[in-house]
Amino acid sequence: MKFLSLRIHNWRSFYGDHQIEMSTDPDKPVTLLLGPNGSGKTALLNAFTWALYGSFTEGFKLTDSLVNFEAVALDSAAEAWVEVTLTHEDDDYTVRRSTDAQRQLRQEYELTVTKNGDRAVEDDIHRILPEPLKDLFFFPAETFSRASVLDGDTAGEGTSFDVGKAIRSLLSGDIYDHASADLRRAIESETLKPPKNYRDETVEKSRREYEQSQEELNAAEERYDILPGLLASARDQAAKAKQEAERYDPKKMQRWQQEHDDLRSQVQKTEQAVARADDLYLDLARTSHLYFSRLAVNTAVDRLNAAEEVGLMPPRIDESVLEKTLTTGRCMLCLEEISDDSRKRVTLLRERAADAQVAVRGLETRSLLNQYLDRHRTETDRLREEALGLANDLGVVAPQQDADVKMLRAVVRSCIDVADALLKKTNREFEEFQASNDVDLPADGRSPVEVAMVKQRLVDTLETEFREIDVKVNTLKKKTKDAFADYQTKSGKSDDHRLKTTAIEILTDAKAYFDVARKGLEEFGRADFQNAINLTYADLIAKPLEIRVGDDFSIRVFQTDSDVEMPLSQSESVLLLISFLGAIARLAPHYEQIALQSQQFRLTGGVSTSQKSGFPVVLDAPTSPFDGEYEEDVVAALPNLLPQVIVPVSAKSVEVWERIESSIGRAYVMELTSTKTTNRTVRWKGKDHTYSVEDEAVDPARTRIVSLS
Amino acid sequence: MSEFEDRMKKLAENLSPEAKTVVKQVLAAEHKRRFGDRIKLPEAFATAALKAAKGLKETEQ
Repeated sequence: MKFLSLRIHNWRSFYGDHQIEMSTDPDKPVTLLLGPNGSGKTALLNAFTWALYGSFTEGFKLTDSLVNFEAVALDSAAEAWVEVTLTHEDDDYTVRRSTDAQRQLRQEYELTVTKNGDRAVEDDIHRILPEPLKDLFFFPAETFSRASVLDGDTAGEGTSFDVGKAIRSLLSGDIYDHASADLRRAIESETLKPPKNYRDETVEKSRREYEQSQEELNAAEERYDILPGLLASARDQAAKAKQEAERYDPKKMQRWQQEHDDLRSQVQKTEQAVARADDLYLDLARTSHLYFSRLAVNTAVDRLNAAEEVGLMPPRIDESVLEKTLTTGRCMLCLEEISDDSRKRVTLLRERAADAQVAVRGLETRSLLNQYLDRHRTETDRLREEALGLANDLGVVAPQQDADVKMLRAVVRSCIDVADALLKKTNREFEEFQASNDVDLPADGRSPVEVAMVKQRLVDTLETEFREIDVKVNTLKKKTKDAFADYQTKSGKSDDHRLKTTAIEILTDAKAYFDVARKGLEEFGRADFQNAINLTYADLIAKPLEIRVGDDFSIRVFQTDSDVEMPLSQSESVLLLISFLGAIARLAPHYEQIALQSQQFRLTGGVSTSQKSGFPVVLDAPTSPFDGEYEEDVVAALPNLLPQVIVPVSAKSVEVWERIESSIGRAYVMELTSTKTTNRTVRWKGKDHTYSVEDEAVDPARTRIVSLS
Repeated sequence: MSEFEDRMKKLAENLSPEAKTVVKQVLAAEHKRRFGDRIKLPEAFATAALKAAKGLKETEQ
């Protein structure tokens, strides 16, 4: 998919008609728009979002004042419109949205969509550019300066986008989301309520219990769905608040942050120790049969060894020789007659002597039993080593060198007790720390440091909830399943009732199918996203780094093949953010094809991306928060990102942009005329162009788009 | 076969024929109404499940 052009009429500061043709040359992927502050760079970004979605980027102000003021002053019925043309898979689309000075106050507009010149619908555009991706493909400068990923020293932070939802929407996964939600409502529908003519208190009670469990489960599942978005938003706000606090009282904020991070790290470490101890205990429980079987196996091996020593395995005397001795009454070796006593012994020997086949089986069995004992020893050694490590880490008495499974269980039991006590302690210390700095309802004029603390506390609470929500949902699922089984059994006497409970069971099974599909799309989509962001980052910066995407789509950077987390420079952090956008944009066309072919299950998780294909992104002023040192790296990286990148940016460092001139297919200047600006020019490819004009007659500002090509 | 596909295939194999029928109906209906009004779908799904339950009862009889 590529944007072809943007045409605007009386849009915000742009009086009259203006047009931008985008570069569609893959070797020159950048379309550059140079404009001073106040010229409408963000308004241009929002022209895209308004045309395509009828909405705006976060922080865009005065959304009921879209029509240019100058135009309205001349004609109170003046109209504004925005028209975006794009091409996708050999089809050309046009989206035009218009409003006027009156309708804009009620947020009313007209929308026209065409496909290859024929009338089409808005859904045709949203199939290509799903709405959850709006904030990714149209990225405002404010988000750059606020994005928590810029705080390179802090691990585990993501952005304020619901990335999981964005990825699922590209795969048409919203269909599965809808299916799950609608099936949930179907289960609760009137159609499946109990028949009105039944009166059985036992059945009624079990139905109420089932419905209550189901309600709790529904609430938990809904919470599960919105939690990633809440967490991402809370992190973003906390990062913003922290930046404010650091400007206000950097020392206090640093001290608080250090102590907060230390205590939180302690909690996480003890949680890991508890999990480690629990897992080891389970491992030991699973292998406890080794302890009992070892005794039996050793005894069996001893007996087989004894049989071998006495010549029964393999037998030194063949059975046939003993048989003949008994038959003839003579020893077959010396041919002497045998006494009654000897006869008895020979009879006993014959009974106990194994024939050759049995002897071979005995040897094989002993061999297998010895192998089993070896495996047992190896497994016990492994468990002993793990228990030793755990005991050392927790300060518990280490197991003896020859400790068996039973002894190891006792050691691990102690480790669990110590780890649980430690976890309680670290949690208590963390909570006391948070409470000692708590401000319940900060009033206006509150200290930014207090605000930052409150925001961080919310993040901590949500992170804990996020870690525990899976277990909670699964527990409630089991509870609901049991309650339903009880209800189904008790309601079985009434045919009508039984039909309804059977229908509920069918719907519950169907819903479970869609829930697993949703989870899978997110899980395997996350794998594709991790691969894509690593490839994109490697295209932008040549460093041996590995990016890992967490379950909550948080992004952390490590040294390759190691668990050593890397602090990033400011430039590297911004490149990471750009890689994040680029990864989604590169995944988009692949996922679109996957969705069209209904191959979500087959192909998600195995997608390869590259710079050669991807959806375009519009990056509003990506370098504005940074000084020249970082700007160069970011600017140099942009042409390697995607086949099309549209960049409105200030010309304060136009020389930096001139360095990638060979990658810029189209360039424009957004010439600002205003009472509040000065007369300036911008030099591009050796020629001076008007950049801003001071004119006291123009109020408010007016912007004109001029091509530099 | 990918891991995801394998997972879903196993899940589908464990679904009852009635649940499979309802899954197909739900998928078709949700595709059709992806950007539209889905307000009537829950009742439609409940009715479909009831119909499948009746079919199951008749089969058992």
